[in-house]
Amino acid sequence: MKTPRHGSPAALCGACLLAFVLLVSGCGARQDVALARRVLVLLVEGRYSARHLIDWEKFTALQQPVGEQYSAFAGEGDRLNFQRSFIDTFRSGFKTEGGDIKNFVHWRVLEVVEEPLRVTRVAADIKDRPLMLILDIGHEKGKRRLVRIEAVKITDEEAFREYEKGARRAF
Amino acid sequence: MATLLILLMVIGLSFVLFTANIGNVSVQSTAIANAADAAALQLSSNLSTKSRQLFEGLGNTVKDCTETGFAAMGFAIIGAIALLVVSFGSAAPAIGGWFTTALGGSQMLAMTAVGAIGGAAGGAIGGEYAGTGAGRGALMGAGIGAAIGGMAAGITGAETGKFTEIALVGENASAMGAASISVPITAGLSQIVVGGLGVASTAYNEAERMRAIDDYINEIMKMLSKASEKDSMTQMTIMRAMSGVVDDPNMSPDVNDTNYNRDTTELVSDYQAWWWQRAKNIPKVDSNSIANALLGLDGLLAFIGGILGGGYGWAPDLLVSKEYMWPTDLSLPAAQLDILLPGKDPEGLLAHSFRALEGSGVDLSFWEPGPQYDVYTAAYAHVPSTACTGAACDVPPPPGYDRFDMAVASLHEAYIWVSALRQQSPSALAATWDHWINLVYDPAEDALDDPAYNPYTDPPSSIYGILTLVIYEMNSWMAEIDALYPTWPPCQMNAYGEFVTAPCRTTFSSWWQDASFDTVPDYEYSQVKSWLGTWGPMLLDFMRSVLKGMANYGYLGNEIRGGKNPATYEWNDARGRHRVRVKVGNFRIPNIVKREYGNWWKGKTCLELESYSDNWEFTNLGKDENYVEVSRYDQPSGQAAIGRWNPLNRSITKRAYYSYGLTWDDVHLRHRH
Repeated sequence: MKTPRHGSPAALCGACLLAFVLLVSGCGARQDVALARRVLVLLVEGRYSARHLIDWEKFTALQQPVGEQYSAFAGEGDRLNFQRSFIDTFRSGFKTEGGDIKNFVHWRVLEVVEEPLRVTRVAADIKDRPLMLILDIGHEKGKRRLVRIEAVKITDEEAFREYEKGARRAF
Repeated sequence: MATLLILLMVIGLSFVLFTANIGNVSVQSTAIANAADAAALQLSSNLSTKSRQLFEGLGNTVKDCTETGFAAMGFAIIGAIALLVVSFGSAAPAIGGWFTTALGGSQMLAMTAVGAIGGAAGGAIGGEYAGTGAGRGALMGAGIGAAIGGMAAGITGAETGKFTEIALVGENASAMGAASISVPITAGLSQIVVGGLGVASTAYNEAERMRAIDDYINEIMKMLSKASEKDSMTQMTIMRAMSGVVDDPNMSPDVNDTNYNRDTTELVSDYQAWWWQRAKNIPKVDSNSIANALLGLDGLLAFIGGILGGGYGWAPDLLVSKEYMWPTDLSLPAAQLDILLPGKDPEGLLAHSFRALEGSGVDLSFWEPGPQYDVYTAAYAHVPSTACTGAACDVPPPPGYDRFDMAVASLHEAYIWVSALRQQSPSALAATWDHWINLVYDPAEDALDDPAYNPYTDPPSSIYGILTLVIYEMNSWMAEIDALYPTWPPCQMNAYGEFVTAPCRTTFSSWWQDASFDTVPDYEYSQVKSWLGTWGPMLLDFMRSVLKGMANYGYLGNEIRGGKNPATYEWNDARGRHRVRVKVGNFRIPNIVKREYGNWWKGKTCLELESYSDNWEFTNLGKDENYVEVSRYDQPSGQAAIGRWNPLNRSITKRAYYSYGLTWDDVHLRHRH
């Protein structure tokens, strides 16, 4: 009589570890989605607490080198003023244009990039428009902060959907 | 009895009509007051918005001081527009590069958010403040926030005009040859207009009323955005007020294509076309252009005055004869500028030379002796001083009146016109431009340069045309003398040092061609040729180009038709003639200034917000300039008294005073009268 075959303890442990890692990494991605959403809400509301959730030195937004502009100021006072007025006028600009945070829908992880910095790309569609907002959450030294905001106009929806599927499979 | 009844009915009807007209005046009065109020509130809102933005930019204070760190601030005196354009102008690969790698899409969709940028940052950041952390942060935040806000507004640009895709920059550079599936969006700016949205909304509503379309308004805003901030605010306020009062029903073909639909035959409101002209050119108008224009007129006066006998300038007394001359003393009353004076002896170069030639037996077609002073004066007295017709105009010229005299008289006429213009204040000149522009330059008279032009059958009607005529004359005079020159014998001198024959040519060398017109060896030919063949036409042509340039430059064209501020719009319709005038008080724009206190040892540098409210430390020095004044005058038509539109026959004026400050609560009307 043969002893029924069971997985080796090592394999079992490995499977458990893999499951754990996937679970943790999945949680992390979901947290990145929540974080991205939170930063955007804080910016739209003009809350200064958004300051701590942005990596100002690396920050780029809509292809504008915000970080470069920010880093040009060495003094703490100037840097603080930069952050505050950025947040103030971000809110003003957003509101003046009639923006509504509810029009950002279907929040999801678009991709995870490891190099040169581990970054989770969180995407949100714009309701009823072929536009998409992408917020990159960077992971560095145990901190997760917004490093980039991008917006894209989808010019070929079908092709883009295919692309996104591929990216998700890779993820 | 029946007659009495009819009389009573007429009286009753008169009363009804008169009352109805009084009612009309009352309605007009209300409309004017409302227009003044609305415009005042718009302006106070714009000023308040700017105050608030600067206030927030300073960290919610009106004075931000620091001991250190501000020294570096002065490095960049960067205008908001330049900074934004540069800052937002660059493109980068789409979505971090992988789309670019995979698909090669590299288009950049530039979007603009007019109101947000203009309101939130463009107007707020200026001068040294732009170089501070707060300034840079505000600029970046406003642009990015506005662009994202516009994306998430859930509405399209076509629906609101607020968020507009303005340009596709670059081509799809896909290596695969396939269409790109996405393009990155960046915050681009093409227009910065403080209070732009409010004005756009107002203008749009009014334009709808006036049957204009959105493109027209966009164009107006674009054009005004090129003006200075204060000019832009002022003109938008004027537009707001005026649009509420003007009810001009006249329409004309859209020859300027004010709405950019390529249809220049459609009918558009005259008022629309008028604003288009104003907005197009107001950015070009500044005090410098007025000063330059006046300099141009001064130069012309000096030149013409000099050659007519003023005894100064480039060619003193060039055209003076010993028989008569025209006065050129600007201190004389205008009426006395038109009274002939006795001539000078020695006379000017040209009359002297022509007289010498005629005395030597040469019959010049353009010159005869005379007219004598008294004969000319008597004949001139019969010339009608106003428009004439038929035989009344047919005053025969005095004996001796020739083309030379006609050129002199024409230049004198130009001199009187220019001196009359020059005596007006710059603002009066600006306000009445369309009444006198054709006196200076009439494009139709460009045709005078045509060699076939005959000044006798088609006399010039502008100063430009007169200069053209004199150039024409000078050239033809010189040509006639040049044609005679080879026929003259070589000069031979007698024992008394005089030439034996006159006129005669010199034979000193092959390169020195000269001639004497009389027996005195003073060689008039080279002097006359110098003036008639070179300097005279050249200087007159220069003056012509100055005049043409002034007219074409913008300031002196239709652009300030109605005046810059106050602005006046006039029109005629079945009710009579109407005039609407809007004046915006000399308000101050909120601004941030840098001030340094203390000394080298211990000091501080402060950024201070100024003029952030209408009563900020009495910046207006007790003079309340925060108002908008609107007045309307309806000139009665020629109907009977009971049917006249404006039975009171006077203008209605309303002035609204406004307040502004750091909060919306500060935006209100103070009082009106």
